[in-house]
Amino acid sequence: MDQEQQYTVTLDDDPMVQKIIEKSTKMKSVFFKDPDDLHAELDHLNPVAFFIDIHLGEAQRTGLDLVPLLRKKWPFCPLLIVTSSPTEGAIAKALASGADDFIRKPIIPEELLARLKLRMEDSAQKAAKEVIDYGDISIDSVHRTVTGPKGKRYASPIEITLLTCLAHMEGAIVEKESIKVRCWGQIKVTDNALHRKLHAVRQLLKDVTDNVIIQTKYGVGFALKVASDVRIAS
Amino acid sequence: MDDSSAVKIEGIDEEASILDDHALNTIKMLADDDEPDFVENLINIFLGRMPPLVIEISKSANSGNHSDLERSAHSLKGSSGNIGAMAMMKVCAKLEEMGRNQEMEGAPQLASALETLSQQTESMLRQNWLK
Repeated sequence: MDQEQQYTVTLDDDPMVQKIIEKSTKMKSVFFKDPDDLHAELDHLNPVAFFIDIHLGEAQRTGLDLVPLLRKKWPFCPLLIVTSSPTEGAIAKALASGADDFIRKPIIPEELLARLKLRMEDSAQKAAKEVIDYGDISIDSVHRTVTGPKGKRYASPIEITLLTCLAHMEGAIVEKESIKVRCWGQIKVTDNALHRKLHAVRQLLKDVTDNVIIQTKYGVGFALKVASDVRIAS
Repeated sequence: MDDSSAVKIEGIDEEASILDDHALNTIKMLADDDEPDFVENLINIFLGRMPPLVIEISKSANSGNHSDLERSAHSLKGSSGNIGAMAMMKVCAKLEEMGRNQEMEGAPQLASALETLSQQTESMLRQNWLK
């Protein structure tokens, strides 16, 4: 699949639905009739939204089982349920599993597009809160990844919290007790444990960029700095 | 709603149009340079899907297989609605409900009415929307 071109994914037993969704959104929609086929392709997909039918008549299946998995894999991707039998129980179950909204069949193209746009805006706002850009790196606290010009690294939960905590301060010093509370939930953590984590995060930063570093202010705390700014200042 | 095509089906409370021209016009407006005959293409997909589902509904209604009836009626309900075949959608919704509630009394008669209705729907689609 071309990663540059935006597309959606439709899971429905009726190919008419995919065609109406494509025309309504002016976007290609990759079509799956069977939830197992969609499940098998998950690693190769990167859509802007999913349209999931929860009552797949011909396949004798439900798309509902896939919703928690899709939500876990794409925390910010809009998941829209499409159904011609919007019973309260099914809708409540879909929303509780991680769906964002539902669209009633027969599909009204304008309504579908309006709901998609709204959910895409919501998702972008949610994602923006969870992804911090600092210097030339991007810190994704949900997926626990740090991405920079040299590559992408996965971080442990404590490492990502530590880095996020420093990045939020935008170059200002964060006291070590404050870091301990944020990362471990308490200050009764040895300095050694903190330093080990700082060492790991510094290594991680080196793997993804040459331009963001953790500066130590002895006896005070630590700060995340853009290396070029530090050189100019000194 | 195009009331000129409204029909009353035995077992269905209210009248319904065979075709909702407004729904079809909305689909027609989705046509673009890539697919100027979008509504025609969609109608052709529907006309391909409809006959086997009508047969399946009839078989399951007559054999008393409520789960098959629920499933096939649900499928045809969705497709009918998307093409503006409102009377078929309503009949399918009723048949789906009968299957779901395992109340099959009257289902064969309603399935038979659906067969007639599907022919009327096809004829109107071909006459008014397919050149």
